[in-house]
Amino acid sequence: MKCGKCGKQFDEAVNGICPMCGQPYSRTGRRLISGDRGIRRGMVLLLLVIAATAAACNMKKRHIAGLYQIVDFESETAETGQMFQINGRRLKVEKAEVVDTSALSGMPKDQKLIAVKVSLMPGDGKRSITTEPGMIYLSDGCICRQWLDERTLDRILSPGEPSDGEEADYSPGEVLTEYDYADDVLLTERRGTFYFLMDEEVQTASISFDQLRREDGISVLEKRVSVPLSFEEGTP
Amino acid sequence: MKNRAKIVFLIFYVVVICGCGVFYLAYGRRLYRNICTPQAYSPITGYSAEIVDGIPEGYEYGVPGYKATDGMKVMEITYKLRGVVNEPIEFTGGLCDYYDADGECLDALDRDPAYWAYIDGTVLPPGENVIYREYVLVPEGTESIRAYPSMGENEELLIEL
Repeated sequence: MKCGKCGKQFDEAVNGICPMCGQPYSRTGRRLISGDRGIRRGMVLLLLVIAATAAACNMKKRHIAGLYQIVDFESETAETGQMFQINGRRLKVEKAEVVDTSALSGMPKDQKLIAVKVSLMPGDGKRSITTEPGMIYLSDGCICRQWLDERTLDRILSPGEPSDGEEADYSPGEVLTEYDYADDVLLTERRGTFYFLMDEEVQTASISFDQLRREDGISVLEKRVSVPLSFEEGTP
Repeated sequence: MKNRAKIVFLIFYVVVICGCGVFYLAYGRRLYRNICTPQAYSPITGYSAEIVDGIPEGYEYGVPGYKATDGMKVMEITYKLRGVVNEPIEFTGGLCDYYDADGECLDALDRDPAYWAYIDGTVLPPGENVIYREYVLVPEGTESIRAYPSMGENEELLIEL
């Protein structure tokens, strides 16, 4: 056998390595990779792994930042009385009215109570598992207000001193919250009211319903349906 | 001896590769904390200021008697805010820190808890535009002040009347 490194002829049955340069040989006659070369290849592999990790971290950072910072969603407008689909539900905003709170003691100053009556129906299909219900809010272009929860509403609607022998009271009816409309099980139609506080001078506003998409641990705004409202004076 | 060296290097490779994996997971978790926070992004798209008469309804000077308020005026600063991240933000006060031309700290008025009891802070949904106001006590004759937002890059804003 001839050594592949120095060219020395030797009998591989007697010597397992070249007697001239010490290059080891396998039984098949192929030159074995020396220990030094193996380590070098291993180090190159390690550097590649480290570089790949750094690249993967950078890509993940850009992806997460893009998801969080880029606000890009489908915007839809519906009229009162018009059915629309959101969050796997069909909704219809029936009307909005200003609640007469003159006899109620808990009303904040310079604010009015807006009641938005909504019908909820099961959606046409099944809600996607990545879909999440988002905010419900009222906006006049300058401020946005979220719906009032039942506890806050109870405090606001606490009756004042009765006058003329009549008790001042307002029955809010079925008070809706975000959780009602996001409930996974909605089999039949429900009707209820979302309540909001708005500044006294506001005459028009729009109620918006957000739908989110869960992606890589981040809730991304996917769709928003807005319904323009003008307020009717309601009856207590 | 050679076998022992091989085993040592093998263990070293495995440790480094596992370390890279652990680093990637830990880095990812930290990313959510650092990037996915509305504090890292400024929602301010515009601002204006004017002097108003007296302390407006719903606001109060947080520490009466702490500083003399004689000769001080109330500057109303109106901010235009835009929801620039995929998360609703709620403002209850303290959008900026304020300083005069000499670098002296200026006091902003606090919200009266009784007045704002039923009203949540100004909420800013993603993609929406809102108006937000803050009130700052400034010496009479002040024409401009400097503001440093608590959100975003903390870049100085020069607010002029």
